[in-house]
Amino acid sequence: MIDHIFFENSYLFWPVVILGAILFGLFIWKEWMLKLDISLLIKVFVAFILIFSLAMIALKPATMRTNKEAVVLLTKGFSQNRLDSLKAKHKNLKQILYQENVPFEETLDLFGTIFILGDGVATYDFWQFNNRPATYLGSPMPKGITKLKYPLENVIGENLEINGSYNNATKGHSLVLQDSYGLAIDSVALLTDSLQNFKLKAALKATGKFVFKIVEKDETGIRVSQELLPFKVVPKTTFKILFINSYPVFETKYLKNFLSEMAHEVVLRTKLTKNRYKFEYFNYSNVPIINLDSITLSRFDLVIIDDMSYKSASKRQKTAINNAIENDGLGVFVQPNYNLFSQSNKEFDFRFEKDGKTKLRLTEYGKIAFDKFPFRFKNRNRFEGIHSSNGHNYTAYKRFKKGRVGTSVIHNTYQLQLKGKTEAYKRFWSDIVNRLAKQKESEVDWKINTNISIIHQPFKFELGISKSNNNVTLFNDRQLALKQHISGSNLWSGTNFPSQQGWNQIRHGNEALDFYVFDTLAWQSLRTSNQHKMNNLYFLSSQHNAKRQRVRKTIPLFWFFVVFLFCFGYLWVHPKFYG
Amino acid sequence: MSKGGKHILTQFQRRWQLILFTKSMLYAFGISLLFFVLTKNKIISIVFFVLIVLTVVLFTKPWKISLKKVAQYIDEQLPSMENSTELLLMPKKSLSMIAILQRYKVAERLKKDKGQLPVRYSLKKPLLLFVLLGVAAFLINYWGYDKTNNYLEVQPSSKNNIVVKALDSSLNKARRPVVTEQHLMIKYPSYTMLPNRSSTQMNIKTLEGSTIYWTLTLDKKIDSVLLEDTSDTHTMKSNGKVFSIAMFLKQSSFYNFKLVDYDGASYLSELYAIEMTTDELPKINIQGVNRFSTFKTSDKKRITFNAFVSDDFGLADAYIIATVTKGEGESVKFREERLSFDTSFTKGSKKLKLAKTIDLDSLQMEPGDELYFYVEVVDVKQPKANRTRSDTYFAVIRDTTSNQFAVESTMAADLMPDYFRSQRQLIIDTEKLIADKATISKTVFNKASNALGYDQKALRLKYGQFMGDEEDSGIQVGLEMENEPNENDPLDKYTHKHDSNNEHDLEAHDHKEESTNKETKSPLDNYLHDHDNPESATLFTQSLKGKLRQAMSEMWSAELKLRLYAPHESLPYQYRALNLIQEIKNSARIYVHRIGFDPPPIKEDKRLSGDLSTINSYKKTEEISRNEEVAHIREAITRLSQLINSKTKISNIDRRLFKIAGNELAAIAIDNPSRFLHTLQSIKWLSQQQETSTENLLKIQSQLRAVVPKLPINPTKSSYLNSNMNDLMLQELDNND
Repeated sequence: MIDHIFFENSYLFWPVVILGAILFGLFIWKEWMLKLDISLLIKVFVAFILIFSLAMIALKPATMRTNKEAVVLLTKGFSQNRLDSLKAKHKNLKQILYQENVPFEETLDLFGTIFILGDGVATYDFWQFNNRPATYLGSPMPKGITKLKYPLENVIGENLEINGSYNNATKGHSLVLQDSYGLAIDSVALLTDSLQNFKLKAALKATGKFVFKIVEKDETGIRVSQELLPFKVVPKTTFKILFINSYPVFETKYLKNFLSEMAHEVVLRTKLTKNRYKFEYFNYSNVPIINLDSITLSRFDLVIIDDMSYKSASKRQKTAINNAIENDGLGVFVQPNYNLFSQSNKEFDFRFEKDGKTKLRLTEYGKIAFDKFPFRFKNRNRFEGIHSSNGHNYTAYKRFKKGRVGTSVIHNTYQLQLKGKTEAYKRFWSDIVNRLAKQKESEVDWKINTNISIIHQPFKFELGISKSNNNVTLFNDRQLALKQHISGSNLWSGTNFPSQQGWNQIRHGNEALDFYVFDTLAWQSLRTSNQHKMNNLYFLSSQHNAKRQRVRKTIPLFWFFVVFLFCFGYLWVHPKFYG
Repeated sequence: MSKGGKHILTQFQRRWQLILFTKSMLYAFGISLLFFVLTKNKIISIVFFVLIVLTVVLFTKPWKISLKKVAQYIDEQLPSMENSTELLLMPKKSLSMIAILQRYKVAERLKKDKGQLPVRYSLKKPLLLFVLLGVAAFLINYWGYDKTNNYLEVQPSSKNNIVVKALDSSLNKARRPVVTEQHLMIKYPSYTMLPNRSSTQMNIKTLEGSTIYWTLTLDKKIDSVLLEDTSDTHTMKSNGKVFSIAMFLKQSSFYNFKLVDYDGASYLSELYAIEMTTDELPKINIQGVNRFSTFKTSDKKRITFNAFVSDDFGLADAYIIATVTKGEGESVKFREERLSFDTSFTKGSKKLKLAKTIDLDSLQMEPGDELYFYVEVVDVKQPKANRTRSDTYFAVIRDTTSNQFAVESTMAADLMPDYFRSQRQLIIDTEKLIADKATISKTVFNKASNALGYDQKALRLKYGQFMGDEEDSGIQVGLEMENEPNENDPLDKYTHKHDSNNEHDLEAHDHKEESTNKETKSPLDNYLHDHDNPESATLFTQSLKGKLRQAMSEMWSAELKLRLYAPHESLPYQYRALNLIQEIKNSARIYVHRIGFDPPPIKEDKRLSGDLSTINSYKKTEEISRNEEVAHIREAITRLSQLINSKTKISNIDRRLFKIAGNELAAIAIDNPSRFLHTLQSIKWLSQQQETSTENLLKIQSQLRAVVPKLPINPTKSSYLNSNMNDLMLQELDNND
């Protein structure tokens, strides 16, 4: 059915029409001069047809037509059953075997409906389906690890935690986490025959780049399969922490001991009497602290201060502290006491509400009960929780430009140490210090967009640069081309085709991105599962969802030419017979 | 004669059988000898031997050789027998005359010709085969049968050989020196009396103080051989191809040999462990005596016990240390004596049963004296002997005369007045009187009871003084004293008369001044803070006064009953009085303890002046460095990961790092050598080599990783990108707050 005609060279429409009209006018004028009879009328008509045909040849008319033909693109791992059902439904179903990285968009244009069966097309072939009606029918999830989550970069002393899902597990088999040489570190038994989530853990004891393994073993301990697990361990960096107390408290004493034993630079200023202080310097060899001015504060990452010290600070000192928070990113932790919770306390922007409970259990700390003031944070937007339970914050902070100010309703944590729960104590304070203290400003921020990079396949990454710089060059073994992001001058993206397996590196100045390149057989199940997800996501988007029923068809110009020739012939021959 | 002929036949039969047996033995022995040389397996060879013997015997069937067969054989071999040998086997009676004659003839001929009888089965062939096989076995053994080199390497005996590896793997294998012989001798300390022990096994477990001698023989002369242990490197003495060294064992450690040839190339052996055991302490087991023994003065004061003592290398001495204490409190005196056992002691014996009887009298112990003793055993260890002491045992001779009462020991002085002690004595005397009632006359009993009533009164009056009562508020004591002469008092020897006025008079010389003012001055003047008014005396509080009054009324009642000659009825009153007095005494103690701190006087002129000029701020600086024991091992793991990823060569700096890491590991490994020996050896290798396989590096890394403990939880800085996008977002957040 012809619904609509349009011209491919529509931009020529008006020039052609004008030219045609002029030509037609000239013809009529010329004929008019000779004689006026019935033959003239016929000639005029023929001339009109001729000029029309000529114009059509120039404008290339086309029609939109409904195309009922369907095609199925068979990708790796397609199910024959599904193909058969599809064939039963669509007569004259054409089949195309998918080949990676081979252009086939023109073929696709011939069909009104495109089905994709199997594991889907590679992400780098998606462009071929832009604005084409395609439906991804998928295939069953492969057997093996289909989900995997673990940090590529870790800090020494922490645990490497690997979370994942195993699809179609074999009951009785087990997954073993092994180190680079094959020494077992952790293991989990596969207990069901369906999907099973698993969690593996390894203590990170040294810095460096490591490649651990996840090995699947059968009941007899024989290796069934093995996948590599690369990750990087970076060293710890220490903080500079300033304590300001108006009287000595146990909490400070124990916290200071913990932090200084962990090699952090700790300075304590405890008030003895008016203008007389006790200064304690641990691992701190810099200039002595005399006044709380902006220079002093700029040397520290975190200030732990009690309510009274802050209140009694001079206006100048308070301004210095606020400036350091907002502009330098200084973190401030306010040690709580009852005054902090009174309604009249307007020094900090904290808002509390009474809950009447003096003991608190936090899920991630198990059975340990923390002592607390009978208050909790009012739920407000700008407060981010550090220790939360049941939707309420018990330790929280608020951002003030670059810096953060936080406090906790939990107190007497030093008693945890006295009770021998040192681990919990250290974790509690590590959480607080990590979240509040000034962070290191890095010049470069890398983001990897390719989960598992495979040799000779595109590895996509993004790069954020702190200072706007139009001259960004990256190297691995040669210079890499980069694309600047349209919205920000310091966001760049690039693609690399790694040519060697193992650890690769992309450098920008002194900063480097380390990534591991696998062989083409690595992590099959995971990659397939990821490809399923990507295909689902891509083909579900609206442009593919609305099935395009009609295809454009150009009317063959040959017929216009034939008509033109006949008309031309008639006009030429006619004077010869009757002239 | 015929018997003689038959005898010859039997002899021949036996000989025949013996030859067959010998033949099978020769075959079997020869073959199994060769087999043994080839396989070196005794059991299989023996089984083989038995099998061959059985086979040959079964084949030849020597038991089937009958006399008849022998006779037939002889007939065949000796024509002179005229086929009549069988006649010798037949009974004479069944033979005809001619046959008998023939039999005689045959017997005679057989006797004559038996030397000519050829042996059917000669031993020549088996002997020859045996000799041939024997020679072959000898030759094979001499030149050494070498099935394959691989086979030899898995032989347990060859595993002990010191194998050296060149540090530079590119070196020609042929140049590598080979340790042809290794010898290790452990000389135990002389006191152990143990013979020297020799071994080719290089892992050593021996006693502290032993001397170890190593001797290595090499196949060629080289520059030097070093023995490297965890702390030091020792050069071995060279004597041509033989190198030796001796070391005195002080601690557990690890060692290896390093061979240096004339070209300077080094070769390293495997790592071996020296595990040191210590001489055990002697053991003592004492039997037959209680931890505490008490003796009455009248008892036989003897303690008898057995001590079972033992030691792993022999005992040098065993004795008893006895300490006798005399007296009490500050006047206590100690006397220590060393006693030997009654059983003779043999020096050097490993196990002994020693007996001892201690006679307390011979130690000149008196009632109230105490004896503490323990057994001490010394072993033969040199230079410093091990000593073990047993628990301490106590023996006391009970002193029935001593006074049990004592004021709390923490008080510097006994401040309690004597008066308080007497109620108890009165009770004791009353109880004694009741007990003696049956044995004494009624008059005596009544008199004694009355006298006790008098004592009770005297006591009550003295307490009355504490209360501020008049002395004459009751019956006059002094007057009655005169009426009751001392000599006639039957209770005199039982009564402890500190309480009576008379006693006071007798001891008046102790406090002359007091006695002069006796009537006017209260005996408590020294203890009272008396503001003239007895009622306001601060010694006792109101409730104490009440208690004292109650006690006095109890005493009244007790006195009444005693005066009525009913001492048993007075006892409950006396007890109540005693309890009350006891309570009062306890309260008094608390009062004494309350005396204490005197604060320094406040300088009024400085008070509240706000002068801080002499007060300074205080400053304290401390470097708390976290010295981790395994810091270098961690560093080595990191470096190994770099080496594995970059595939670069091991540099000198790396080798130094690995060496330090190795030392750190050795410190851990000493407690558990078997677990870490392999790792230690690997890292030792690494600290000497230039190149090694990635596989090996991975292995060492894995082993080291397993050794180091997890780091404690510790906050760490994270990083963020400080870009204008972030600033914009923060700005927006601020604006919308």
